[in-house]
Amino acid sequence: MTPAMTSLQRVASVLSGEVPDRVPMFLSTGLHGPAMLGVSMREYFGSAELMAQSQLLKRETYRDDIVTSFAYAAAEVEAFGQETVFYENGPPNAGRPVLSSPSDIEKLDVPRLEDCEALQRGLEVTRMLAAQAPDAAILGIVIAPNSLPVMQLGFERYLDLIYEQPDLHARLLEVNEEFCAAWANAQLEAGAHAIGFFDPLSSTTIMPRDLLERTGLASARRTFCAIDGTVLALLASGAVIPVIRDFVELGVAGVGVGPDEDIGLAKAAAKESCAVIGNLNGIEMRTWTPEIAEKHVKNAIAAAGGGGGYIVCDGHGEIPHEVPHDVIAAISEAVHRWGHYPLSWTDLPAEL
Amino acid sequence: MPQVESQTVEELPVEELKASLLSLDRLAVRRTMLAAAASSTPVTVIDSLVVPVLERIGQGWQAGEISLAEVYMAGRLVEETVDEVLGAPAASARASAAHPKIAMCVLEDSHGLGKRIVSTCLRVAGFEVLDLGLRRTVEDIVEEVRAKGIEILLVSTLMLRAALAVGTLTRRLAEEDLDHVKVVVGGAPFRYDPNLWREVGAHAWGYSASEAIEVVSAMARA
Ligand code: B12
Repeated sequence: MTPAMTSLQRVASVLSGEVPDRVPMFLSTGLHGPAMLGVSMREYFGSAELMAQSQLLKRETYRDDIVTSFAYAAAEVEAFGQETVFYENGPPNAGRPVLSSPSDIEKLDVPRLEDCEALQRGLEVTRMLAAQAPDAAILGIVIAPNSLPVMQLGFERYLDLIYEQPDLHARLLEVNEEFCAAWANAQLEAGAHAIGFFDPLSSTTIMPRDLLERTGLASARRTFCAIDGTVLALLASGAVIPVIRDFVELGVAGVGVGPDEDIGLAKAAAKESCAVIGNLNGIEMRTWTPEIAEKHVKNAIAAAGGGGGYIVCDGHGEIPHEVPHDVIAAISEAVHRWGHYPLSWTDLPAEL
Repeated sequence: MPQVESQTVEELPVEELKASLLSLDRLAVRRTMLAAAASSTPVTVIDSLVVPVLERIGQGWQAGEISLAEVYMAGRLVEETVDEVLGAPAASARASAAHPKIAMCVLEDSHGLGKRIVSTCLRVAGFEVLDLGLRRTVEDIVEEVRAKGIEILLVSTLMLRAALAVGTLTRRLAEEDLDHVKVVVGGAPFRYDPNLWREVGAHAWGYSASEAIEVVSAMARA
């Protein structure tokens, strides 16, 4: 069972509908970086070298397939002049909304990527990963134009805006779409192989389907047209099955599936038109044992791994830093043990 | 649930009101509420119409049939209409003096939508909820609970970090001899790990905003 493929080939084969040598995996442990390297969260997120180093270290430790330049969602609103709040015991969060009232949208300009340090650091990480991990698949991340406003305005005010001021909403989407496509393309240019389009607002957990068709999905369509590369739709563990066909039509190569949904049903709904990525429960993972981790991975591979089209990942795209090393190691072990094609063991009667 | 004097639960148009709320039909919502208020007492309208509608909407969200945006907009609309038709605040429709003192906060975090939706639901169900705000530290909350004599404390969280901080809060409440205060938690981390509420020493948790009504009603009766 010597690996027949590099990580990059393995991921690319799944995203283009072929069957790889084994199920690829993405262990998104960016938040473990500071502890791995013995630095503070603040120092870590302020340094491209440290972030790149932690990606390389996690790949060496867990032998997974995808590295990422993603730092934290709020980095994108820093480009609009918003503050980020750092915590030592969790991910950074967006500070006070930069748009203090919806009327501020009228004056909003598309920020220049060159003017934002956090985004420049992200590009630097991407370039370092491309140089130092040529065999790995590099995933860039953008927050969708229709999800970013939750940080720019606050959630309540954004929902009010969508329902009550459709013109201003359209204008905000326009600004965010231009920004999002530029940020995605800059990451592709720096060496990312695909872009994860984080768009929980386009999940039916958050918005009703009819409204989505007019807002989030329409905006995703326009944005994808302007992105020159492969896109994965990641709904941050919001429900994806009801919109999976919509995203397939928009041309995504994969969709993220959260722990609330059945990964086998998601795979069936994707009808081999795109890969499914997920859906280990990252919050519960904190309390797993290595044995439980192996069981979850086995079940997920059995449900979604058949015939390719599946990438093992947590259901959100970021493993909380509280999840212990031995659990992450056990997930990796289980993929290496049970993920090789052909998955002949899945035809055997299930173990109890 | 109190006795319904003039109408049975079936007779109050629960499904009709739910449909009007979800389609954001303000006039239809108002019409239904006015008709109900003309034939029933305010308490009956709340207990046999408004609360069952909110419960069904909450269950619909839990089942993945109704989105959060609809839950939020329906809450806003029902709150406005209850205030207008039954008189603001809805809490005065009941003998509120008999209620325990309830407060709600967001611990160490600025994600306020959960708090807004939950407190709206409780308010239209007839409970007065003191708003302790966002980004509160454990020590602030302990102080406020003592100073204001809070008996039921609702905590909304979105980040796992904040959910775990509830563990520190319940420990500090116990150290300060405030362990009679009932702590009710909710928010995404508690939905993804159904054992987490016990782990952090909470007395109860709710999956959705309408479950908050159930939990708080049971605590108020006890
Ligand atoms: C939409 C979303 C986003 C959007 C908007 C986020 C925001 N609100 O600011 C974007 C894309 C920006 C985003 C980014 C991030 N996100 Co996000 N996101 C989500 C998602 C899909 C919904 C979150 C939300 O706001 N829901 C709305 C609220 C109102 O829902 P709720 O809290 O569940 O509340 C309901 C019930 O729980 C209940 N309830 C709430 N409070 C209470 C209280 C009581 C007492 C009771 C009884 C009931 C109750 O009533 C409400 C209505 O029914 C969730 C996953 C999910 N499916 O829930 C992840 C999630 C919240 N995100 C998460 C994370 C980590 C992040 C980031 C930190 C990622 C990063 N490293 O940058 C950033 C932070 C962004 C920021 N603010 O700075 C994690 C948090 C848990 C954790 N791992 O720590 C989640 C849970 C995903 C996951 N499965 O791990 N995210």
